[in-house]
Amino acid sequence: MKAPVLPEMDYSFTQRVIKEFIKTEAEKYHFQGAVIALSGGLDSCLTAVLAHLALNGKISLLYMPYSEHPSSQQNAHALAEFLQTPMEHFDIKATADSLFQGRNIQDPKRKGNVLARLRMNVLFDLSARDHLMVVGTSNKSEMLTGYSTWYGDSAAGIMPLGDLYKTQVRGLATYCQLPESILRKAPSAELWEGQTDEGEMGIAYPDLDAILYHWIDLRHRPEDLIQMGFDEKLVQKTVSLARKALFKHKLPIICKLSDRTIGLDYRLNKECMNL
Amino acid sequence: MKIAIAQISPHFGQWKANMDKHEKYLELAIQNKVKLLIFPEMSLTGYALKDQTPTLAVTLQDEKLKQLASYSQDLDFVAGFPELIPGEGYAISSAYFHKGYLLHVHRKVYLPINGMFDDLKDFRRGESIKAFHAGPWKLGVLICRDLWHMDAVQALALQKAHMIIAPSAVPLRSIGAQGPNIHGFMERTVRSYSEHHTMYFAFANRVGFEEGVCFYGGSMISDPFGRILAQASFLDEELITADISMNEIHRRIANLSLKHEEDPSLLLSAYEEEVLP
Repeated sequence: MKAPVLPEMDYSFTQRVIKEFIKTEAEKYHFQGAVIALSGGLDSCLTAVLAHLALNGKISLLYMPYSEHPSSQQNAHALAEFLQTPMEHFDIKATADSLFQGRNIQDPKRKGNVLARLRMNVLFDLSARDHLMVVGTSNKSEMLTGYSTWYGDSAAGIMPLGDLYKTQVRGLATYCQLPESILRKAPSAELWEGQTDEGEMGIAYPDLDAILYHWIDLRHRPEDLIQMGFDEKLVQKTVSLARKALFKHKLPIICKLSDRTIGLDYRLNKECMNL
Repeated sequence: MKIAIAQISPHFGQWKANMDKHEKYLELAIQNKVKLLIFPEMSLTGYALKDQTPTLAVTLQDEKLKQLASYSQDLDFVAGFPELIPGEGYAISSAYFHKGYLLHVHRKVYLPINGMFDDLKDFRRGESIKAFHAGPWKLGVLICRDLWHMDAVQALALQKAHMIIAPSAVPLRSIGAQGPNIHGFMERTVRSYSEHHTMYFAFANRVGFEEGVCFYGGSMISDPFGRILAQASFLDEELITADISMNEIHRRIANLSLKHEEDPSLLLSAYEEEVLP
């Protein structure tokens, strides 16, 4: 039996919803604009395009490389040119190397986490300086499987692509007519030469997304997914990744010691900041 | 009679700003010779109030509602708010204002608590669904989830309501090839109710965001033939209008006499004999 795929999506309407969302969030909390960290990958480039459209160009773009990745750098520049928006280039190599040496960090994954959190620091500092909304670039596939750094790239004020699977992000980016070099680039955290998301996770995004969609969105049980034609090992891998990532979706867990506890039964929308 | 829906995005928790917005749309409606204007669910405060409910809820005697009632000299209108019922708690209410006073209040009966919804955590259920007269028209109000329940619609149909008014706050869920998937369900529901019960139906949905939740709009007015007379856009604030006529109800009955054939005693006996025991 052939496993089902993701259903079709109206990308024109999706684009409108996300634009309205970004605009509303910026207006409600009186931001001067938005700041986005460009990696040169699909997610950050699409996020920048949507924020640019939503905020009439009032965005700041930051490119924060650690090592040379010519294709990423070219893509980031191509995107800035596409949007006709200046892009700040801030090299984090010296700061990162000082940390790596001082703390004796050699494991590439630990290094990756440090880099993500360094970039987060720079973004939030720029947000504080210019009163800009930090727009995160994570998608639903990587958030669900934990393919992100907790309080690193997962830290943001809003996450416009956070309810779109990677396959849908690609569809939306194609609809938005992003430059071809960005659309073609293989997703990668670029922690080492030749690294790709799919290679590291051991599953291709179309398979991962179809399993996640039918499991999470449509609430089929994992055992039913196998009956529906999904590969058993891929289902197990996906379920395992998603279970292990749950902590990344939470604010710090508080020990309940009072009648009203933050995050539990002290329930106020962020909109109440305006009251 | 010309009726209208004000598909608005309420300011969260801000009575004053929302009163101003209501006034603006009432003026616009008057300019358009509208005789009945419908605002969405909780149009005066925003929807998911959570712990802010006690702060924002008002009794039916509140000065703000009296001020609103004074706007209804030239046209009737329906507006939504959290109601404080003294000694009992809070309800999600929509009030019908008519000739300067508050004519009718409907309290939401079906309070969802599945998925993203928290209604039943903060509000008590309404206890009745009653049709009422406003001039020659017999009307009924159902709030959002109420209209998903056929017994609520049936209750008004059996009371011979000519039109159901449905102030709503329906959020966007998934997006399909034709836009918001939920809209297909809403359109089928609204058209089917109108056609089967020989009545007009006004689905007044809101737009805007609350903490990332998008209220998609798509408000619509359907007639006793199941036709959509007016359809609002998705996502945008908008005033839509339609003409309704008692003649069309009569024409539909002449064409298909479902209203003549109805026999409420069947429903009553089924309840008494099969459901209630």
